[in-house]
Amino acid sequence: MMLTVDQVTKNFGGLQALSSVSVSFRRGEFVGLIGPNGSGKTTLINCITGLYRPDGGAIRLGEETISHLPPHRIYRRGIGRTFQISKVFNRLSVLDNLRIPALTEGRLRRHEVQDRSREILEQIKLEHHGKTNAENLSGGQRKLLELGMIMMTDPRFLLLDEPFGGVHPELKSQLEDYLCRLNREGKTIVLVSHEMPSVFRICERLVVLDHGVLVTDGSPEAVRSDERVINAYLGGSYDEA
Amino acid sequence: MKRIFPALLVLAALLFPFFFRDYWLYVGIIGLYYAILASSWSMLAGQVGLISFAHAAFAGIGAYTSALLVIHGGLSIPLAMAAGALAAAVVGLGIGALTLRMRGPYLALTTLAFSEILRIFITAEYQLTQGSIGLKVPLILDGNKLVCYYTGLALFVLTLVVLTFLIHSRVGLLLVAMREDEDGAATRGVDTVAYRLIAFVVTSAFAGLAGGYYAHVVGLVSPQMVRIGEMGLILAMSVFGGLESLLGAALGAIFLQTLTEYLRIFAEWRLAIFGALVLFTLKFAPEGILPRAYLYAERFMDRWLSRAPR
Repeated sequence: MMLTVDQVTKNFGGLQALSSVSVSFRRGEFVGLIGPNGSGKTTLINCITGLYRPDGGAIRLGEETISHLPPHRIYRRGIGRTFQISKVFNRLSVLDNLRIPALTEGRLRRHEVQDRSREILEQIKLEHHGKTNAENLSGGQRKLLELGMIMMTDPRFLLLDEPFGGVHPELKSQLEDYLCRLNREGKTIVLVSHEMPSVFRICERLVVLDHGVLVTDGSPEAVRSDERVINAYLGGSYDEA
Repeated sequence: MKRIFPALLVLAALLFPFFFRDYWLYVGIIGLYYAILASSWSMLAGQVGLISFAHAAFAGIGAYTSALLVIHGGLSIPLAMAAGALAAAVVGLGIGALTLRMRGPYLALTTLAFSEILRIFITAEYQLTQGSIGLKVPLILDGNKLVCYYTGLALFVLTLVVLTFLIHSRVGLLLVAMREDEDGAATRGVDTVAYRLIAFVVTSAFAGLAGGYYAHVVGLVSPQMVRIGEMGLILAMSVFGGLESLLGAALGAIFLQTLTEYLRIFAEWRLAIFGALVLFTLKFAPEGILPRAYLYAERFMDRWLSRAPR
């Protein structure tokens, strides 16, 4: 199963946030989506997950065009995402936050939801916070909870927008390990991040955007030495940065 | 405190007709009508985050449907009231399907426009509705106030039970998630439009039921029921009582309805007073005056109990 972005364009008034972007994500890949602020990374994820409708082009999951579908239908097709600023439900407990995606799925029975919640809580190291309201979690814990929420329904594609932002270094290392494990289990992960060391360490492929245009798409080694990336994004060589 | 307070309320509600008769019993009857409207509106605004200005209009639809079915269709009053609730739900479904993709002020403006269109329609359709003169409606058991009161109390309890069940159900959890973060809910699989529609239809049905009840306890329905001032009153009651508490909103309704009687000398200025009350509430107790008062009472009781000799 391949997730294909085909010539996608998105405008906001006079600003072209994405300009004929084409990129594919194959099953089991770990892709880093990088670029300077305002380059269109989050816009691309918003288009893929249905929050924005592209002004041109199409997004396909396998043979099916999904760019006209509402977000909940896209999620149910196995594309989960997290947000740059965590979107957890503050006034609900951690367990209730986890229950929500499972309830919308409708396939899981009550005891299965409970078992799955406990399993996820352990995986994201929040097993002692099940009854804590999400608003009382730290920034890093909220990131983990958000990831746990989408994992409740075991999606095939994970689009993660700045998952390391504001996360304690120790927790970040755990999060990296968790993402690598999920990838080994067959999940396709698209990682948007400004944490370059992490991105270069764990991603097998990098896609670089700049001003809504896809600059390059290749291995970290190739991207690291690509003049266009150095000019557009790093402002010098990565090693210097 | 959590058990004593509701128990006291139930007792007070049951015994009310034994202490208050005629005029004040009638005030209580109308208070129950507003209590159903305020609690169902607070469910919509407080739990789902939808600001609709069509709640009084749905009550009007329930009232006119029930009245016309009894007058022209020969239906019994309970069946006609149920049909009124159903009619409000069906219209709610139509309006909701058209408007619930909109967010924020657009929904409020569309429902406001719908209310005004309905009021103008009722006023203009004289042959059917008797226009602004109003339609005379048969009363429940010839207007026996005791029966009217307990009927209203039963409908009010039904409203609270059903809405509370809904809030604590799977649907309720998803509604709260949507209120907390709509995009967050949608990208975790929640069909936000469908769940908003469910909440809108259910609360419209209760508004329709309240309208049917009003028609058969007052004996007259007129376009006054659906004017925007009525909607303002429901809003004031819900905000005063607490948007996130069904019971709080209902108590707010009963309190303000009682206050209305004392403020009769101020005529239309009453609404200005209510407006000031809403502003005061939003500024100093945004969760509602009654929930705040309850919190203070609870603290006082805890302190008092902890000081009491053992």
